[in-house]
Amino acid sequence: MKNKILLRRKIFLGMELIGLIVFLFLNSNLSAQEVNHDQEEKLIQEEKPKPSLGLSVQPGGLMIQKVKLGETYDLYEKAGIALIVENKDINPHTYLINTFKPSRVGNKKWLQGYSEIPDPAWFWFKNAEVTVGPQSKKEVKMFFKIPQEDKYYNQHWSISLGISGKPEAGKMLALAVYPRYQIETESKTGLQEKPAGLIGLEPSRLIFENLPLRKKEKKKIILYNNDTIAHKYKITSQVIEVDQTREQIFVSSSYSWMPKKRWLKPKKKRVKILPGESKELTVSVKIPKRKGHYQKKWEALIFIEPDEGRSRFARVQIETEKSAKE
Amino acid sequence: MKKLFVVLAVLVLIVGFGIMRAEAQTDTIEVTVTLRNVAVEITGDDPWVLGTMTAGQISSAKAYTATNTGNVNEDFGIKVGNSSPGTWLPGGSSAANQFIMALDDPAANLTGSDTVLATNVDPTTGSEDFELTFTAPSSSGSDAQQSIIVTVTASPF
Repeated sequence: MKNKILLRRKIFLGMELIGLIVFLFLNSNLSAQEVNHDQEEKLIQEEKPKPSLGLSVQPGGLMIQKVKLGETYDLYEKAGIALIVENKDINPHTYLINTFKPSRVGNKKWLQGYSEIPDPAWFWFKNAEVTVGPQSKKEVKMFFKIPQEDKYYNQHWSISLGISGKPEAGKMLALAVYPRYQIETESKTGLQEKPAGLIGLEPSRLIFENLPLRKKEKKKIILYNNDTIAHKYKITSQVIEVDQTREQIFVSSSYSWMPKKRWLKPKKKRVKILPGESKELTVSVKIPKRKGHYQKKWEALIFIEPDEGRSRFARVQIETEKSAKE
Repeated sequence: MKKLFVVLAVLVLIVGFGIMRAEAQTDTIEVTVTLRNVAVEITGDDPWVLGTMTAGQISSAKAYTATNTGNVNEDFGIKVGNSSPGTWLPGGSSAANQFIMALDDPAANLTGSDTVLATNVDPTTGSEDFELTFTAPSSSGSDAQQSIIVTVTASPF
């Protein structure tokens, strides 16, 4: 049985009492004392089991690659993926669902190599809020569309989702969860305008197809300094050590991380670019000739780290030759 | 003239066919999903009944526990909203229509933005105990009962 307790203002010895009453939930053993209307009502509360609130959201991590500009995507239709909101409480709860730039919510972090999505509104949900029953789950469909502008090719963005409990009468505690997703737009060269972001890349993905083993091949990336000041950039090759408990750069679908990052080499390890200008970066790949290296699909990253600010990366995908030659 | 028309028509057909082939070869999006879920649980009194307080009065500490119930390392944050229905605001000192909701460790006065509660909380056994202390405003423009929401947040580490 619930009783709502009203606080009456009382002036006592010239001091003003400030009442702060949070809604009280009583069990069947709880009773309230009858009070004189001239006196303040008192509430007696018995010990009760400590309740818990629980919220779980899936997927906690998601990477979407090769996104075409100007096209509306329904993630459920395209990939069978919906946001799953699970209420682990014994009471129903309503959750507000929204998108944000990662710097605006939660721990305000996002993966190195990615930039914040310019407009979180490019990603949206079928419902802005969802009510989930006790110990239950609900699915919410997700959609996105990146504007058709050349500068949005070759982008690697991070976006934060916010799933937060709607304030409820009689409750003091609420939970909010902020998973982060990565969106990588289509890789393209010959653009009509510079790629967006302080560091622009063209293309954002290099593909070495049918690469003969023991043979060095080269390709180029254009690196743009879109900042207002000159920058020095450190260029390295990297592969990611997989750790399922942490947010990481995922390897592309159907690829595995290249066993040795040294097989991918940037021609220059450091480059300086004036504001508004660009330079070509040459990278080379050479895979040792071994029996187990034929018909492999490997991926590594070329990381561009500025002297100041956040990094970018380009994906380098290698498909080795199909069989040993006689 | 007729011959020119036929040649032009054939050229149009060839170009059209070339465009269709390029579109058919265009990649579709690729989606990589982890099995990760970001999840958090909190235990403790809800609501926290403070009763009638005098101006500037400080409550006893109230204990809570936030637990990482997901399967990825998480950072926990905590924040407080304005009171309802009257608008008391959270702040660093007790003032007119301004309250303090203080966190014990790390020591901080909560605001409407996330304050770090714990970082890199392990998904298997990780939890964080914390205490809150409330300080009433020095004066209030409203004598109605007030509700205040404290939100615990979880983000991937």
